[in-house]
Amino acid sequence: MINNEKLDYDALIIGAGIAGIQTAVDLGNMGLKVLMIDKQSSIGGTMIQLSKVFPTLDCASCITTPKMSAAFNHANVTTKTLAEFSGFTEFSDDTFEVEIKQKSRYVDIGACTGCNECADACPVIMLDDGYDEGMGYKKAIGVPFATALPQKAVLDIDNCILCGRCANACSTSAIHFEMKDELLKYRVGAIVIATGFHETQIIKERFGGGRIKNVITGKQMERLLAPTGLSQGIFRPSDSKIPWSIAYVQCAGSRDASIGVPYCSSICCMFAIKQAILLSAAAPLADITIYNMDIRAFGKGYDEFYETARNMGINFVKGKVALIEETETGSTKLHVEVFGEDGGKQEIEHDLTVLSMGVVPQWDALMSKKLPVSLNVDRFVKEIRFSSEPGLTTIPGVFAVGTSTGPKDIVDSIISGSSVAGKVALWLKGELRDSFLVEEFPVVM
Amino acid sequence: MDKKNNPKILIISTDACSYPGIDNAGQKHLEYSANTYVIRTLDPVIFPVYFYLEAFDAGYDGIYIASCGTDSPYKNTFEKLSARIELVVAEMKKRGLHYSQIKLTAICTVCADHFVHELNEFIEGVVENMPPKIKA
Amino acid sequence: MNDKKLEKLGVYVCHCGGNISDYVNTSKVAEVIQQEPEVHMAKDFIFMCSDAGQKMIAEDIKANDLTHVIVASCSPRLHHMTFQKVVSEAGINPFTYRHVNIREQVSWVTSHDEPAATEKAIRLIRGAISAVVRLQELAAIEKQMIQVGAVIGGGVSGMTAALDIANQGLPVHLIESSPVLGGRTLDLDKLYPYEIPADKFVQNLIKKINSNENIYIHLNTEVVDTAGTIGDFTLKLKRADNKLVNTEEMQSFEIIENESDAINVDELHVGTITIATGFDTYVPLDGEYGYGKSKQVITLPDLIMHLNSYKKKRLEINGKIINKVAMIHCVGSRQIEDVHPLREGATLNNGCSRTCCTATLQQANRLKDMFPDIDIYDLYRDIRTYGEKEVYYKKASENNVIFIKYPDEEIPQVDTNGSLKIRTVDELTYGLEVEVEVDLIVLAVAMIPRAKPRLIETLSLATGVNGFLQEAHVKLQPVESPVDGIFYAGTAQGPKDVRESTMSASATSVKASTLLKKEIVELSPYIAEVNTEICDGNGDCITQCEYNAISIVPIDDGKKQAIITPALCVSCGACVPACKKNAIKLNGYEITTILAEVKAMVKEVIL
Repeated sequence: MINNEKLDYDALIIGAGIAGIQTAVDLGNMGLKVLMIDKQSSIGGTMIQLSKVFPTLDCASCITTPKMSAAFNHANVTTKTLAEFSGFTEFSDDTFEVEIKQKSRYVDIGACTGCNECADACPVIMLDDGYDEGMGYKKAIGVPFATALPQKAVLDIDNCILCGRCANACSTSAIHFEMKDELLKYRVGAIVIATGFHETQIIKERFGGGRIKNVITGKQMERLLAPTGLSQGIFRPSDSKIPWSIAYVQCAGSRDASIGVPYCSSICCMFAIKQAILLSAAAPLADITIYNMDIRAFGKGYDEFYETARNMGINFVKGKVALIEETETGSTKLHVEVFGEDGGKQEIEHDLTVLSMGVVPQWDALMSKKLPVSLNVDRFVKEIRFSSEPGLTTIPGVFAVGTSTGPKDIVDSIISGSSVAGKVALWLKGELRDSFLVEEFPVVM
Repeated sequence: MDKKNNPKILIISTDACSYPGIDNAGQKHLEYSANTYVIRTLDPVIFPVYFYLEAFDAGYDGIYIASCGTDSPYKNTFEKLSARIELVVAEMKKRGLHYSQIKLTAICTVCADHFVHELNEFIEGVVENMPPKIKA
Repeated sequence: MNDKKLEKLGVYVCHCGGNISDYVNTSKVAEVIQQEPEVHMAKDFIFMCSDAGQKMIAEDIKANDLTHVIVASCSPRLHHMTFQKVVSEAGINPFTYRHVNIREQVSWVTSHDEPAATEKAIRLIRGAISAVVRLQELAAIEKQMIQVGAVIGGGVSGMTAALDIANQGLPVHLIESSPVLGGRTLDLDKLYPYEIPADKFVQNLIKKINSNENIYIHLNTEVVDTAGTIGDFTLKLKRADNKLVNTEEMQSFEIIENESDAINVDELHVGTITIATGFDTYVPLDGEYGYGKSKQVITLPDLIMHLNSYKKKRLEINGKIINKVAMIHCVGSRQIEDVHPLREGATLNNGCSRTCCTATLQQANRLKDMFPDIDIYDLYRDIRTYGEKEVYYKKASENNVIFIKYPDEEIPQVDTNGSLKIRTVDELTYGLEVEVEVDLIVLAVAMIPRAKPRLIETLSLATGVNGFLQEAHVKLQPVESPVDGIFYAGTAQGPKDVRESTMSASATSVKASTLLKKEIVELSPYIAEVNTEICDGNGDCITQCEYNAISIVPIDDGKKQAIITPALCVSCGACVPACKKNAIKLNGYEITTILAEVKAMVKEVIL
């Protein structure tokens, strides 16, 4: 039985994307004390990076920021950014001592006013390969992005040249180059894995292996399309020209055992359709083609969204893209086996090609060493009661939400976050032990 | 200050969308006319026709309504708001005000560039079309 | 309002360490504002948000008996709450606090014209002064919560929702219209991807339901009418028989027998409602793909039920040995106008039913496992085995299921005269025309919404995409209805598989039990209010309210009056301008206050 008095927090949530945030808010609303950590310098996860969301075309930032702020300002939720889970000890009373590596921000969060004068003073300009997916630039110090929470500057010590200009510019003397990483330890009653996903990182050799400049990933296109992106309008990376012809290659990083992603990533059809609709609105004359095997618009209102895209004149071509080559002008030449009546092997040129990469869990083997939950064959966190009590992992007291257990869209991530909050509350009452001990399925596929 | 080139603009914003969007223009240090005054609402649908007319009477040269558009958290308010602004424009005509002195638009939480661009265009339109004011 | 001169207002202007004061002459601002008649004291300070700044305000409130405070600093999105807390702790109603944004909306956008920026800051603060003295003291509206939940629908979603509420230690009524719990999951075979037998899954859940003391089961019971709002809903129940489960405990919930109505009508009073009424299965039209014309054309649920108890070595259906099977996807789903036949009066279902691709391939694999010699043709538009369900597609391919992809606008033709034949175009073979003779056609029928118009209407709910229940927000609040205190579990909201239904059910119970655990539910004070002295009950406001929050009630002398139900009001303000007599105001956002603010900002500034 959990002795709640000994606890620093009722639950630790690892990851502050939309699923983790939802779990935190729901637990907080139930009166439970939550510690939510994220290894990034802001909360918000993948969702805060997106342009708009399907099928409503709501601006992603507009609907994410209220949720972020609800969690961040919640009386029962403590948030730590730049904080990584680094280990745990289990106790006989079903509680855990968790170790968290608090990486140094080099900025005193209490003193920083978020004015960003430090960024203006900083002479180091570098590619933003985090929030902007390499499609924009940032300084070595500054508030991570416009809607970041906390709205506090962070110093990238690896790229800092220690010139001290930021410290001189800071009116609250908030910058401390000597700040050190810390190891924090807390006693918690439950752990929730909410570490989300990243895009499949291997770009296949036949798609250029990452060397063709005008072959970009879906997430990079998100940054080009987002109103928070640094770019003004859509350009292609090689020569900043407007791409009048854009190709989408579906399943570029999923449904392929050879790259270790045999499953369907569930969201790529929809984000490609959404991006095509946004591109089409931005450049009505642009010719957009989505090469696919199956369009998987399975959610509520999703197929209707697909129909809208077709009515807007976006081309959906059933076929397999075998090879992508770079032409002399920097364009991309696709070798496609096209199905349908006038099908066959074809070579088609597009100014820009977007690869719809897959969803790969962020929770990796390294994390599993620190917290040894079992993974399923697809390397997502395994749920031992998949259909009856989703979110229970193989370690009693450890839960998983959102895309850490499999590909999900935003709606399903939010539902998963809420549903697990209820399970965590039950566990803290000492009532869920039996469920953790009995696997519900007879055979593992 | 030359009033003709520096009209006084009332900006009606919404908590859910445009207020953060206008903040975002500040975060990006984008410059726009200082003779602009933002008020916060939950949804501009709350304002009756007389509200706009009294604002013009009070001395504003233009009213820029930065709504949530169809992204409003409330049901069908944008349609109602659009219909109301049509009524306002009709009343404005009767008073010798030009339709370009009012604009209904949608500004999202991160639409900073769009906001500044559109506001500047709006102000240009106001400067071009506003009636000369007779001062008592 | 201001003639009482009772206000003692303190105004604080922040430098933000130069972020404001480098572009705005902050000391000049304080100096000019100090001259305003309502202002008792105006100060400027380097960092208002710092401990020193916050303490300064608190001490000033105490020492000078300030009644109102305004801080002009960064965006209210950053520090409105900070200062609201400061004034609140010092005894000032937090709803009368005003924050002026002179950083994001002044200094940062007017960095090369100090006089202009300074003037703008002064005008904005003057606007706030004018508003602040008119602001009402507000407080959250408190309402007693009946700490009992109700779940309508006894399928997997409803049972899970009830169990999760009950496990939180709260009593809950589970209302099911049929004589048994279990719902449509009982019609399934095994649950993917772990192949758990569906009946065992359901039985296990029923066992838990039956042994839980907090759950009161009402079988054979329909909800015929509803009333009330969050914290206090009334459900009128009609039972097909007279039996009550857990009768003794039931009485502790004061069931009121309504004698004027039919005998078997009871009333329940509950704090929250979870709707888990599930879906209906699409019934193909007469002649749609030969359905009804040939006994060898059946639906996927028919096939599953047939196979569930099947023991023979060869497959026989309706007296015919089956060697070749065709399975057709998207029957009743993803309908296209003028392509798919429609039942009279029915609306086009252009949505995808989400589960049928996987379910169809699961049964294709099952057929192959049971009868390896059978030939299966799978006629599809897109195979939607999303996520981990892709293994079913892979396995079907390995099982040599023959996939034929027909064009969206050119549906397969079924010939039932003589032998059963299917004709279609196959895009996978570059548009080849295919004709196959089969012994059985299995139609993967759609999930369609259950018709519950009465329940939807009386609860002020709405249906959205394809007739499924409309959520509060499609992306962010998928299990919340637009009405506070009412939630959607499972397929009533849209197609889902068992796992997804369970998740959504558990999510609803988190929301419901969080509410039910409170004795008092707090409602937003920003609600519309009717001035009863002016209102003549003409009802102009009613049509403007999208949330059914307004009703017209008779008062004395045959007169009428509008009343607003606070729990249903969402603060949108749409009703305010609808009243020609200006009898409605939105608390916290009174037009007179905002107009005063707007007008105060125009006044000439002399620097």
